[in-house]
Amino acid sequence: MAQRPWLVPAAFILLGLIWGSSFLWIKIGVEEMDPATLVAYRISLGALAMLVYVRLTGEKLPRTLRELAPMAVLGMIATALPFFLITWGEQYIDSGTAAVLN
Amino acid sequence: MTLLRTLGLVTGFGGAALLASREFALRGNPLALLGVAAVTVAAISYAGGASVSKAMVHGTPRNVVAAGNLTFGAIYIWIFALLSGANPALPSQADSIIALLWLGLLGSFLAFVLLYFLIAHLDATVATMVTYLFPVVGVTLGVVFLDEVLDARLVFGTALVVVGIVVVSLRYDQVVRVVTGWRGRG
Repeated sequence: MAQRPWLVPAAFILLGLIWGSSFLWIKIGVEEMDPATLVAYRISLGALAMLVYVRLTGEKLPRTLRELAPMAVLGMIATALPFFLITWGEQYIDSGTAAVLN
Repeated sequence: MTLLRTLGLVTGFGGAALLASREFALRGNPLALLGVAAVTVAAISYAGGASVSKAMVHGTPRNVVAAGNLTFGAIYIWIFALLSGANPALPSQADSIIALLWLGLLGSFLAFVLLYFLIAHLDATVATMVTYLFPVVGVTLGVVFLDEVLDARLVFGTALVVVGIVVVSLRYDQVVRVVTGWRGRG
């Protein structure tokens, strides 16, 4: 990291752009797709990519209930529920407003 | 400090109410108010998720947690989608397809990788400050690409929400330490 100190601020800005722009893309996607469908495909794609990435980086997938339980909870309150609410909501409000409220 | 945080909360909600009134005024559709409520509840849900993550996740690598989180999330939302009768068809319009790919591969995958990279190299609190970029990026893109209106209510409402969040989430003990440190050196 000492040789490439610009990586951290670059990653910060890139993350801000990716996540900040998601409100725009949600607004576009929800014009054609049902909100639940858009969210379902999007999360599935992300899950698939993440699973592949985890395998490629050699990490082990969890097997115990202790490890799986928080993921089951997070899957609802950190992913499915908020993603759906935001996508549903963006049918009726500006994407900019959604970005601010988040 | 609790008084200050309460004021911050009130300010934030005031901003949200201003934004809600703006949405309703722009569209005349009461669903706009529900839309604002939905997005606000989503933000609260995210915050709950962050707390759960802190409390319940011990030792599992973050990428693995994200993979599990997303997999369970996908299962839940597919069940909901099919039970609620949502049309499961894939999009046919180019911009919808791009939206899906962007949201899935960048928003729901690369973003996590970047976030964990940042958390590894920065304080986690600083990493989550990336959320302060959302209003700027989100509003700008909406105005530029979707012809969304940039008016006083949006600017004020945004300012109130951001100020409210900053006041609520500021680590006052750190601020005091920093300020005292400056004074000591001066």
